[in-house]
Amino acid sequence: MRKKYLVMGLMIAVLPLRAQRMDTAYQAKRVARTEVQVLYAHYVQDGVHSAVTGGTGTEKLAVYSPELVIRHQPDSSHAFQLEGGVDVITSASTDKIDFVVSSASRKDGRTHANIGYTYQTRSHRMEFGGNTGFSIESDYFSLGGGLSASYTRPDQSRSLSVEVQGYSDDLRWGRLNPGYHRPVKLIYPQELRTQEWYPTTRRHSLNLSLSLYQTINKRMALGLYPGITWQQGLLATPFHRVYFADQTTLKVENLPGTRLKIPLGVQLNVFPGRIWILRAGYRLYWDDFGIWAHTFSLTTPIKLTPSLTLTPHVRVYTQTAARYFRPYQAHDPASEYYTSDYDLSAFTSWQAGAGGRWLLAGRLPMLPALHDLQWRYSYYHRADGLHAHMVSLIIGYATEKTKTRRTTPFIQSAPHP
Amino acid sequence: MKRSCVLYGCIVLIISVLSVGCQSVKPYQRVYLNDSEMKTGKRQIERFENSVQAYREGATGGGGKGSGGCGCN
Repeated sequence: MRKKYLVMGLMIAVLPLRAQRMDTAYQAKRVARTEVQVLYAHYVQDGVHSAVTGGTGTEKLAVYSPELVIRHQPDSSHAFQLEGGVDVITSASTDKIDFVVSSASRKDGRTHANIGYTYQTRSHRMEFGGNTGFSIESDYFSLGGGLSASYTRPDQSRSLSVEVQGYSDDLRWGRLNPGYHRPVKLIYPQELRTQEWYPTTRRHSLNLSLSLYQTINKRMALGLYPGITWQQGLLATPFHRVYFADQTTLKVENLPGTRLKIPLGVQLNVFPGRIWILRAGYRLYWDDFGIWAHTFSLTTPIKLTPSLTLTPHVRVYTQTAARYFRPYQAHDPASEYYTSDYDLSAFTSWQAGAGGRWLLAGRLPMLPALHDLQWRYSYYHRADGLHAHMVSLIIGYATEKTKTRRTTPFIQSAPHP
Repeated sequence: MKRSCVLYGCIVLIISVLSVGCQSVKPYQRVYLNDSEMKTGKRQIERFENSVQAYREGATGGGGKGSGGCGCN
């Protein structure tokens, strides 16, 4: 009797069930994503070793630098990027190119733009990209372009990328100046404009950089960054003065016409606990001007909440001097190459500060596209007395659109008898 | 010459670590590796600072410095 009721109950339970309906169409979804980043950087520095006045004199400088980056991915394979920005520079040292106090050389501006495209294969293992851009100042015009390719292993444990970037720069003045609007001449210090000092006005650079990413275990990853850079042309800055040991000779800076640079960077990222991460970096550098440099950096992001991260950082850098560097009035007048630019002197510098990131991702109902806010402050100090404050801000927006395409699958018809 | 030996020694050491000391990580174990703060390479927020370092220090190049700017102050 019990079995009878049990069988009847099961049959009633099965009644509403139907056989799974065969889908005759499926929905192909394509997610288009657009990201917009508004960047602003503010930089102030001061020092007493300006190369414009031969390694002595003020290096007071301020730069205001707004920038916009737009990245659009119509699907998972293609991505387009457009970047553009302006640097407004107020410099006390370039004001000393001529002898007019607060002259036009005191203020300068740089405008730059870059477009790029990347294609990722369907398997997401290979990526190819290209970019081109320009940068223009009153005494500088640069055209650049590059190609890149990368491969990621299917298990994502290793990826390798290679990038080639080339620049062609022209250091002639006049493109942004009223009455000229074309490249006219190199700008020398006012008292040295009696002759042409260099055989060329152009500089060409070629960078080859490799990048290797390797996971070591589930909490540790390593990045390796070897590279090589070749430069040829006018590598000196035309309005840098050099005073010689005889106290009568004055010339513009002169450096060799070629330069080879070889950097090698290593970065180790570790996630040792639940809320903090360790990013340690070391970079070794050599060039044929005679500079050896070592950079040590340490960043420790702390995840206060899943959406809020604080990031203190510290960086120590040391370099040997280029063989062509001597301070003010220390050069031998018979030297072939000479500079008093303290950027090429032997020094140690350190930098420290903190930053943060607040991931919003649509949490503010008033601004649903607001994705994240990032900020960073650093203090920079160089052993020769140069010091600087740097502030950077990023406001990130992101939108996604899902496009659904209904597709009828191909049905193979039965063969004719 | 001595420094070149140090450089090549570093490269050999790193390659040795890569080839010997790496564990296989399953996709479901990548929660820490996939964190945005664990990504290697330079970040957008550090971009301006990298540019300043390229101007104020002799060891420029190879670090992804963009075009332009005489860095002359």
